[in-house]
Amino acid sequence: MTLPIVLEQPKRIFHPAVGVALMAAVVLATLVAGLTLGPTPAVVASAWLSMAACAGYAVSGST
Amino acid sequence: MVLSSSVWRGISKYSFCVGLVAGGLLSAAVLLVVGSLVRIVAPVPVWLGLMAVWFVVMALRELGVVSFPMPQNARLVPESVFRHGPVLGPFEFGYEMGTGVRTYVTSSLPYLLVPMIALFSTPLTAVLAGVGFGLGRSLMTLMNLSYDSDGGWDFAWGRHQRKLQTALLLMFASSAIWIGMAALG
Repeated sequence: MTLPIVLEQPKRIFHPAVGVALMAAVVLATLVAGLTLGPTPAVVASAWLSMAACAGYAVSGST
Repeated sequence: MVLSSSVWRGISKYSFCVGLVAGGLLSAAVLLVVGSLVRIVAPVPVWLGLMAVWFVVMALRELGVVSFPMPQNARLVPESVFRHGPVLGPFEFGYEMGTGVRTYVTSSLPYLLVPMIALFSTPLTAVLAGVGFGLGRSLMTLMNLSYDSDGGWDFAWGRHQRKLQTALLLMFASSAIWIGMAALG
């Protein structure tokens, strides 16, 4: 008797590129706000948050 | 890969993510304190110039144009970190990982983030940087665990690594420009 092997299909919505796209949206919003308003405290705060998030995500291979 | 372990059930992954953010906060606080002593040696424009040069060096390393080792804790995290149970175990694991000094550092971006925090952060922005670093790692963790249970996310990352890291490098630079402009006043 042959047992069927059921392979789990990856959920593409969680593909690594989607995470990068999510952060790109934040970075783009920061860029637009910065170009419009200049380096206001809110823009700088968003820049710190998104910059550090990029660094955190980039070390993805180490876990 | 520890993420492919079967211990990632229920609350464990969220506990791990909270630990990641806490670890990021710890490192940012240490860098802020150490950096506040270093940054008085030279004025902001000098640090910005040095940071720009350092960025070029690290960008070339990130893109694979040049290759040289950087300091890292070149060890894998053992699964024994889960000995403290399904909540505290992952929290401790995440806390250690979140500091960025517990295991391999597979990207050059943290080596850019460290001097940015040390030289240009305020207490508030250091907190934001620590939280951001933890959130970035948390996003990766949650997406990895949700993708499949067979290490497929890591495979997909490896397959597109150069393009993804290039995008992250450009986004890092885009954000860093605003921080540099604010530092110049």
